[in-house]
Amino acid sequence: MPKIKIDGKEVEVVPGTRVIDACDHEGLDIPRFCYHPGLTPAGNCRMCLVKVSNSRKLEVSCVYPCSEGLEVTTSGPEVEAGRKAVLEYMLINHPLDCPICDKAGECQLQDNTAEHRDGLTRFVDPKVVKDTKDLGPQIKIWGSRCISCTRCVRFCEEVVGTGELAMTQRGDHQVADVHPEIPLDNPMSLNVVDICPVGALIDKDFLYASRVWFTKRTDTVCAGCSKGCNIVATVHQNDIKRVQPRENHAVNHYWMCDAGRQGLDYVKGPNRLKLHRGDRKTLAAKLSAIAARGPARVGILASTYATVEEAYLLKQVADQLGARVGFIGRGGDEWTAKNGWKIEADKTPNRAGVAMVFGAVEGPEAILAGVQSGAIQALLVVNGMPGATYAPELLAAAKKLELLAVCDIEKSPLSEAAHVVIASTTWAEKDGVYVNSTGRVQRIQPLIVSQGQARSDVATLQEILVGLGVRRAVLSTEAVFTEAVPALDYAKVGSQGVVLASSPEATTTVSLGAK
Amino acid sequence: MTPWLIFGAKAVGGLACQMGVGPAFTIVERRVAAWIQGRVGPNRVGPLGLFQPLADLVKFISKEQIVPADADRVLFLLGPLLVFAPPIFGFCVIPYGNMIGDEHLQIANLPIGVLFVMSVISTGVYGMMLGGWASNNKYALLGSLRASAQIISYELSLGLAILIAVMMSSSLDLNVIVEQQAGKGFGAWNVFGGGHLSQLPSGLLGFGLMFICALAENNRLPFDLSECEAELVGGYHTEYSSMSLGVFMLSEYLSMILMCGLMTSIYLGGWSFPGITDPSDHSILAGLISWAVFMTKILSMMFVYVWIRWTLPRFKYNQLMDLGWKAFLPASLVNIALLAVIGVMGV
Amino acid sequence: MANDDRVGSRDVEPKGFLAKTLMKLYVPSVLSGMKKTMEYMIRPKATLQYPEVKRVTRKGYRGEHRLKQDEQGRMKCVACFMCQTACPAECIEITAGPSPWPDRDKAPVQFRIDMMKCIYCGMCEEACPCDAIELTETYTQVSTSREEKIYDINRLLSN
Repeated sequence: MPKIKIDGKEVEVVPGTRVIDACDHEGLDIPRFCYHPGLTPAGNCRMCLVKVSNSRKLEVSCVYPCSEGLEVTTSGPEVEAGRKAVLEYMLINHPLDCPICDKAGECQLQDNTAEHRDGLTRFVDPKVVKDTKDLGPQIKIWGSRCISCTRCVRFCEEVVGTGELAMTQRGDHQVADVHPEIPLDNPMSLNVVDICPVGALIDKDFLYASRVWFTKRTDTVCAGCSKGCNIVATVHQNDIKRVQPRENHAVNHYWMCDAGRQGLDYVKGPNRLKLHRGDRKTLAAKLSAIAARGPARVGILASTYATVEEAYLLKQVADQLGARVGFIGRGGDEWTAKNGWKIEADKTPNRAGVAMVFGAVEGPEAILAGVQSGAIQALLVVNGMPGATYAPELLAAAKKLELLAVCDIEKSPLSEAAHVVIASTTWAEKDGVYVNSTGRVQRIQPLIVSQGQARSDVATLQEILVGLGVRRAVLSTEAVFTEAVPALDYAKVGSQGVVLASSPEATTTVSLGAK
Repeated sequence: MTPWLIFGAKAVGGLACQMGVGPAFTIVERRVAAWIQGRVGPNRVGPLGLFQPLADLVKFISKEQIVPADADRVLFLLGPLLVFAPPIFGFCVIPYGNMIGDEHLQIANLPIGVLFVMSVISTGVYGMMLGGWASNNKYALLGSLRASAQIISYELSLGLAILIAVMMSSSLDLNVIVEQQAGKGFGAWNVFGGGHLSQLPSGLLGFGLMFICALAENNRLPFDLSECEAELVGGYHTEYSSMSLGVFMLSEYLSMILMCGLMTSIYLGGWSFPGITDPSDHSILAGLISWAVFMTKILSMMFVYVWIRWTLPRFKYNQLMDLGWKAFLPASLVNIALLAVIGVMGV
Repeated sequence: MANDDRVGSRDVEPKGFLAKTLMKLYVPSVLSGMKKTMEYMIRPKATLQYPEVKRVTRKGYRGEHRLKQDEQGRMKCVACFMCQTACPAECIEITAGPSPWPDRDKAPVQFRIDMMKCIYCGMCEEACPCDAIELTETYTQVSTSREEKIYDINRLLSN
């Protein structure tokens, strides 16, 4: 284990560690553009210059390995002069269009320039202007802003393995580009926008949408599949402008898939159910009266979009009414990137969490059969899944039901036919906990204020349970979670999630990424 | 027939002095108030805002006349009229110009003119009392009590101050009093001793006392606490509206004119002014000139009224009463005694 | 008269019976007060007869906003949101979109200023990198509804 000295402080490092990683570990702020911990170091931006004892000149810390007795100096006039000079070269051709650049406010070039330069320029000649064009259906490049760090090129090469991007031209005309016939449209392509240190690569969905300093960022977990990528949502004026991946080495590292970023329109979509209908006060009494006629007179149809709290309350309702619970889900294609990063086939976020509560996840078939045969006289639908489709047989048979109560986020033929409709909140509007395919318990948070009358299913189900005499009062979501999983609370789940040993699918492991 | 025509002409002239100038003076008051406060004042109605009083009149007339429930309707409506009439009666004996031919420019030539004026203006207080009482409002009643107490208190000093001039002139006939002061220079004015230098302090003190008492008698600032809206919920006219309130307002100006006319006549030489008027010239032109002099004197004094109004703060009621009874009454008595001694000694 | 009721000039203790009496009767105070009000009466008035006479604003007067246009009649604004960022009253609301002109990327689709929130501080003018917004000398702003006071892009361009 080599020992090195960073700014006079002795540090022991794993052999092969780069100087920049050792400095990061020590909490020192080394400016950088091309270095990204999820990618192989390229050492081409030369911003991370430090002074090392082995060399007379300044060295690039992102590729310089630590060796025994190395002495590193990360600040001082010499280092500062080096960084300043590097920045001056970079700014020769970088346009001064920060006011209209969507990266402004979270741009590394902007930050580093503010910190390491004095705001003056000595360059008087015209700047090189490069093309602004589409790289793919979602991504646009402002060539002039590109500083040739090659992060995007390396991402497509190393992580996804599709390698659409390459550096073209030479010298100050160098720019990242795609082959004319191969657009940048791989399932993880939008990550290049996040890792771009400047505003060269822009997501067309976020283009001109908002300045980042007006926005509010909230940590949550993606509901697009059972992988449960940790994400952070950028919200402006109660509207989700974009989501970006959040670093979590146990789940998604630095990345997320494009599908997770898109398809959030339903949250404010025209099909949202915004108003309640029917008499929800007497719902518990009616359910209880039907349940009293015999076994399995009441059926419950839910989805694996339900949070752990909702599943726990559903189970209480089902136990009290002697009801069967069927879960609808959604499948899709599994996809694995070159480095093993995987998009799960189960496109619902909480199958593992529902399984944890119910023991096993039953499909909707038994419920459908019960409704068709007339055995089930009352059906309670609690669905938080966007774009849910119900079997036509169920819709036909539902006419026979004595009571059909639907808690849903979107209008559907079932909600049209229901006697009681309760508008409920989507993933983006509620608190809760999801358990991902690896058994990691992770928390989602409300990003925006809910639409219309929409209220959380946790509150609705607790009201029914109060009406049934099972619960005494409506508690907060966190209180319900602590009741369902006594070992945990939201503070213990934290921002990175925890693995629960009792989870039935906790043994499943997924190969995770490059490191 | 002719005496009636002459009387009619004199009456019209006298009323014109009072009824014409009174409403018109409201615009002067408002403009001067504005200037003193650094404003411009009403200048929109007619040239220089001169028709503002007409607009005010239209406004007053077109407003709803409200008689409070349970008020004594007859007395309530009678009140303003009883306040309105006395100043007009009082002005009948004021000489508003030199003789034209054989006729005094005066509606009624009474040998006891001074006494008549004093007795007539005392009756104005009945209107205020009736108005305040008939309003069936405790604030109006209190306001009328304040006003009548104030007026009665100051009438005493006012009467004694008038007495000084009467003593100097040895007459109760206003024509005689004015003519004694006319044509002999400023020294002949009663304010300056009525021709005797030894009477100068008495004249000055008497005029000063009369001027201040006249302010109080007319409920003008700084003695207007019988009608201050903000502090004491108005006064005897709290419940009045429309033209009945307008009549109250108008009679304030009318009695101001009467008081200024009286003061001018007994202290400031009436219609005479050394070098401008000639008491022996009884032509029409000289009569008009003397009338103009008289009106100028009245308007100047009224301007001082306004000037004082927007300068001095309001007295408290105890200060008002203290001043009336403890300062002015003794001062007036001492002044009379002094003048009597000087007169007896024949200096 | 109680002592505390006395007013008048207290600086100089009056000497002699006459002076004391006059002081007690407030004569000096009244005369000095009337002198002061007479000064005010004859002093020129600052009032302007507004609809006929309008105040000439000084250079740099901050009135209603205007969105400026260049020589070709195109608005100068590039929707950089600097004014919205600088605005302490948060009265500016911009919606950005792609520019219809080739020489720039971005232009405002909508530009709203809530004149009732605006405090006319001029920070938007200071913040603008394109010299695209300025405060004019228009101070006569009359509207009959709150909606009218929210100026949209066309109103601001035509100002």
